Amino acid sequence: MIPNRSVDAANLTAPPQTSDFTYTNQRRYYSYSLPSNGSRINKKGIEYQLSTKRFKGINTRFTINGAWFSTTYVNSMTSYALLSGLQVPEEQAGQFVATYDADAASNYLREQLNTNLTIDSYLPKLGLIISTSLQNLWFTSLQVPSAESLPTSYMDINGKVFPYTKQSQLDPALKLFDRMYNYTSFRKRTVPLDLQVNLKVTKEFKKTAAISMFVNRLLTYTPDYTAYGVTFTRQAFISPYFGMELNLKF
Amino acid sequence: MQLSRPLLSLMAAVMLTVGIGCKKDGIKTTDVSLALSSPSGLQSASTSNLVLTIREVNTNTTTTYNLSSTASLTFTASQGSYEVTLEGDIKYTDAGVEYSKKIRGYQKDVAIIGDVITLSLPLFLYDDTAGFVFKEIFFTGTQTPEGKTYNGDKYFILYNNSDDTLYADHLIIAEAAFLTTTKRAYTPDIMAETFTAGSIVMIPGTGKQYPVYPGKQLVIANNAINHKEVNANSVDLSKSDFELTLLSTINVDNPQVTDLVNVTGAMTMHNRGFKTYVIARMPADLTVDSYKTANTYTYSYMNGDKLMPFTGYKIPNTWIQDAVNLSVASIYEWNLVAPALDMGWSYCGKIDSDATRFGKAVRRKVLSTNPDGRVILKDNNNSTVDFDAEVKPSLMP
Repeated sequence: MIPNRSVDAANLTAPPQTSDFTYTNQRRYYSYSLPSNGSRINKKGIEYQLSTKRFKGINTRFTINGAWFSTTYVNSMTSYALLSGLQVPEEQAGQFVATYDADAASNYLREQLNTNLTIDSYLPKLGLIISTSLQNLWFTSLQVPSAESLPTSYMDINGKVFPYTKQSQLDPALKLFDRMYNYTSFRKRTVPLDLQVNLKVTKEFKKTAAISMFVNRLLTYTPDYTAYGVTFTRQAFISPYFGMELNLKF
Repeated sequence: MQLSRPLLSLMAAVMLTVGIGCKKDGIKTTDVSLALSSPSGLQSASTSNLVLTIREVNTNTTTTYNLSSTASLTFTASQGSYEVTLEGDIKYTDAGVEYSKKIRGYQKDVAIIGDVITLSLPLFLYDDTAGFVFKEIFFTGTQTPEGKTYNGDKYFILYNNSDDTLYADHLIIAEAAFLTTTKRAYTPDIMAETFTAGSIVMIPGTGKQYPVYPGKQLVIANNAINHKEVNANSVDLSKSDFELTLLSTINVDNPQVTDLVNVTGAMTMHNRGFKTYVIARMPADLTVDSYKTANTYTYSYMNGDKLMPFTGYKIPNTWIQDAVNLSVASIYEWNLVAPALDMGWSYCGKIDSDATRFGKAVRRKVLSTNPDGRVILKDNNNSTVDFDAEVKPSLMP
């Protein structure tokens, strides 16, 4: 810290003892995480499946399945925060504990709707099964419900608790407890249509062996979409995935 | 000796020979030949508007000659002991750009005696706006011989580029909040008037505690210890003038070296060089707390459709004495100070995370050397031309 005046460093002949130093007592808070029962997840949804018979002539069967899910995550625990040496000078770190009501910003509501269509055709003369699946995610959405940026109170190094007021927001250190949520933090974000087509061709050998070649994401359709004035492009790095499979029966 | 250098190549010899031999009132006079030499190191230098003032120190008689009209000047000096001062303008070119600066020449205890003498007067650059500048920034640090990350051996060298003794007390060094590699349309955009700092350190002092003489420097280490003891690739910073207090996990305190005051959270110099650094002077009447209360502000920018708010610290451009933008060519996007403070940028490394950048620094170029040996560093507020990039740190043996 300030130049040392306790020990004559230039004329040391042995390691200095801690008792040689002048010092001041300082205290600070530290924090740690504690798992507890404070969160609740509500899931609701509908799953469905429709399978047709294999139509004669085309030897083909259609299967449709899909689901709609809605997941709500709610945390009701009080949370606490300290200021770190990245935010304030080290000697000011851990001097306050801010208390926030249930941190609603970790809450969310997530929804999604998807439909899959599988078309599989059996060609017995060739011993071939050709299976095409269309996986369609109609939308996914995520929304964080409105939450409070400011703590309700803070505790100083002596354990005394003060309400967090407008005056607190003017203090350069206490101001940093403002989590600065804003109107964009709580907007519902919906990602529309995400369609992919997969193809799988299987050749059977006398019911004892089968070799398959498949291509996932043979076709994709993820159109650009605009949300809150910003256009999102999604398909830049999507490429098909090729694979082979060999099944043996003994 | 400065005068022995080939600086006389651009000698402007003004011959002031006055053909008056008689001494009609009995006072002895001398014919003076004046030989002027331009400041060393300048290219295509030409002087103009030279005004010579001679003062006889016993009688305090002052005479002024306008040397731009040399032809009409008749100069007969009474014999005596003189103080000679010359002021004027100089133009020179550097990297194809022409600059206009002030020059001076000065000699005292000049004995003007005899019938004819030649007075040699070396000229030097004079800038009454000069102050502290960054002479060197070693921001990349080093790696150990095993190629591991090493902390604490970065440093700044501040330099008094003026011809006055300056005090380092309450100088602040600030690192930008933004990155030169990611342009942000931030609001409020206050760059024309203020620098947005992420971290700030300040030299302590009473106001006149830390004098820095003209042409002298201050080394401000991260950790002021001899790093060579643990890392052969590093430097000995144990003789630094000041040191920073780093994040507690990497801070080593040398009790013999004065610490800077952390105005904000600890400064961790960006080792890929994506930041901008400024030297500014905290007004004497401000405490750290009153500065922060008045200058903490919230800015925000859109990242996609999200509004990102941050807390930063404002430093008025009028407080700033020097600024240096740092970036990397392959990903450079913008400068983080007003162009009047620095319109260019310097670098160590040509691509992001360039492994060759370690152990390299940026250092301000030398503009000229005065007759008294004082080195004047180049400060055109354009780091691209003012700095040598990727140099070996001067403190590295």
